[in-house]
Amino acid sequence: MLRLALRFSVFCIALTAFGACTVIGARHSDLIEYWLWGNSSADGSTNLRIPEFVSWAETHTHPDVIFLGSSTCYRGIDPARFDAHGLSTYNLCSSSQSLAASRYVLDFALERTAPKRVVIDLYKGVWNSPCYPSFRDHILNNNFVSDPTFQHMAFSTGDPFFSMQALYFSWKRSAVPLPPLLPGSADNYVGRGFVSSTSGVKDIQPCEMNRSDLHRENRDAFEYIAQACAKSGAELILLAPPMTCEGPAPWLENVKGSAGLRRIDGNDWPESKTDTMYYDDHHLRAQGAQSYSDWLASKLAQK
Amino acid sequence: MLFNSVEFALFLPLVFGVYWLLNGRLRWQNAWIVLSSYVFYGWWSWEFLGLVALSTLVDFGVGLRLNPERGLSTRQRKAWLGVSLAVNIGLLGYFKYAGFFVQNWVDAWAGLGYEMDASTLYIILPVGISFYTFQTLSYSIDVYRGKLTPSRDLVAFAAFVAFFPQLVAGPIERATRLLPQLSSARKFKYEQARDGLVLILWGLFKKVVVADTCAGYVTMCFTNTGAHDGSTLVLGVVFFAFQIYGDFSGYSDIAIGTAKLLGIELMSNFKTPYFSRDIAEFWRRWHISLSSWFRDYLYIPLGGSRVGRFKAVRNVFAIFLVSGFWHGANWTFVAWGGVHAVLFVPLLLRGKNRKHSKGVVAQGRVLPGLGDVAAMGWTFIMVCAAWVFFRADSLEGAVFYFERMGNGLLTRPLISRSALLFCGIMLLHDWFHRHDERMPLKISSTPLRWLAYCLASWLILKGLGTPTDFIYFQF
Repeated sequence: MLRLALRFSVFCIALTAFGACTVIGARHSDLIEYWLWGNSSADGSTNLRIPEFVSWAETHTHPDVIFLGSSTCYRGIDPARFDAHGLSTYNLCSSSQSLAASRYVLDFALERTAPKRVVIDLYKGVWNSPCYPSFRDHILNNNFVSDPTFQHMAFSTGDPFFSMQALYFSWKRSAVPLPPLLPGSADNYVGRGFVSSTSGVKDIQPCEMNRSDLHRENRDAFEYIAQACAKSGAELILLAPPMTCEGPAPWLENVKGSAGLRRIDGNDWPESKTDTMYYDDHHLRAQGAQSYSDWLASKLAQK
Repeated sequence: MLFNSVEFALFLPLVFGVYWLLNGRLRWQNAWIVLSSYVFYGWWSWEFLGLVALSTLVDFGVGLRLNPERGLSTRQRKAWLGVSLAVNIGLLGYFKYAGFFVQNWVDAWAGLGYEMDASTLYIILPVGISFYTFQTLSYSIDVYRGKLTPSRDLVAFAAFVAFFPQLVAGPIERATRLLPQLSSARKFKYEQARDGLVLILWGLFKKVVVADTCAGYVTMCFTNTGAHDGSTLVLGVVFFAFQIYGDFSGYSDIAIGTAKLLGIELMSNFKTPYFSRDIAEFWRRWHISLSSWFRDYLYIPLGGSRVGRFKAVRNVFAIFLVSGFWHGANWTFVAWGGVHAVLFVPLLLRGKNRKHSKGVVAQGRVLPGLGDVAAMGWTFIMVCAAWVFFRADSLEGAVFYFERMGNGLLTRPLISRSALLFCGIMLLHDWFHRHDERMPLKISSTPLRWLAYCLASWLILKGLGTPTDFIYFQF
């Protein structure tokens, strides 16, 4: 038994030494970093959205609206279209951003700005899981990964390797920041967090109603977001994104802890059931995003 | 509790430590196995622990009744065996197949123009029920046949039924192998424990690194079949072949390795099946504990191949169709079993089903001959074709997948570099370990071996973040 314990201890030491070697190796070789630590990606444009937000927030300390949510939001809501309505807005949505991830992104935003409204785009596809890949997106593709909020985000998952990744990329980005352009994305990052789809008109397959329940971590995160908004004086608004199949979103009424909050149903947008506005059953094409953003801006401009 | 989770990484050292602290006190060690196993199972769902306990008590009681010393008549003994069969198959039938039969009944009437209320039963499938019911059944049948003396030790018997390393996804152990080990004193052996740890490491690599990496590509192909070219869909099936092998054989390796840590030897479940030269050899190497279960308790009692040609063919279809149905209440699994039966029957009729029953391909050589390569390639293609039925959600989905595979077959497929690399590593490893699959990562150079241990551990850690269920949990 003692022999096994000794051997296992030696193995643990060897693994630690191996880990140290991978840090050194990854510092000099993209290939080692790719295979042993994780690969950066431009998908979803988090690498561009966060740095731009930090600069933008310096001149917009009291913006009108901050958006949080998943890809239905960053592909569907163009902040530039809100300018005509006199609303200064920024889109902090990202790929598969669940409520559990949004709470950290909101913290990051509230450290730099005091928005008048926070709009959460509630796509039901990211309800029943905390969606840790979204957390990873903010660690691997973010020059501000060393910010305590993002470090906390990584450690909150309880995954030891993810915590190590957060520390590694924190160190790496301080020495070698991500370049503005990363290979691998066909998307068109327009600015202020909005990504315009380059997709043409497609046949839209009928979508299925997602009736999943809100995951425990997302429920807790929602409570946290509501409290954080109340504390900072921001109005929290719930937004149901438009989809080709979904009618009015009655589920929006049933979000626990949301009593008294303002709700906007994207399915009330007149074009919400026009297939040519979408490239699949819930993501808007560029044309759809413009029209939807105009409609949403007029809704938010109303007091 | 999943093997590929942080919880299990904490659970196993605790179980191991206390278990060997109790060394020399057999009854306490077995009681600790029972307690640990119930915690392990209850972590997923404590509500279904009652089923494990029920199966244990019924078969323990039936075993005592079947004891020859009681002098029961053949009729009475058959009746008691019937109780065991009724309870175990009844549990399996209700929890696994009731919804399926109700739905098919409703569909059949709908086909005749009669609309019935389709409020079908929605029954949660208790994890591992197909495995532990078969394991306990083997006990009752072996006692009935007089191959095994019934256990008088309820704690040892409960440990046999609920032994956590193989409780939820096998290997389906035989009472004749496992019970005697649980009924006798165990001694800690360094070599056995070391081999167990290496098996766990290799099993985790196969699951977390290979299978989970392939899973994304496979899901993309099977959930959005219409959007991809034939070449991508072909690659999707190949990746599924490696995904299910990595997933299930990985689970078996972890189970066997964990049991070794506790001084228990479990049977092999996989022996490099993708190096089989025909379907008969494939089935001697794939999910061995299940195929040998069906052979011993269904195929041979039906007469096996030593009956007339018609009956032999019937028996082959029976065993493959039942085996398919065992995997799940869906016609896709039945079709999968049927495809394998169709592939097996010609070998049986030509008397070639035992051609490769001994040894491994390229025995004593590094590289196979051209004939072997062709035979392995053809068998792999056939196995992959059958996997389409296994993976598809419905028969229509499988047919659609085949149709789409013919569309754009020569175009450049989407490539997943990581899936290709990890499948390649697993395949290469299997080739060099095809003589003894229970001794993975056997590299003669010590520094290289330790480098392999560290690299594998690192990649496992990297992939552990979002643990995914083992595919065979659903069966």
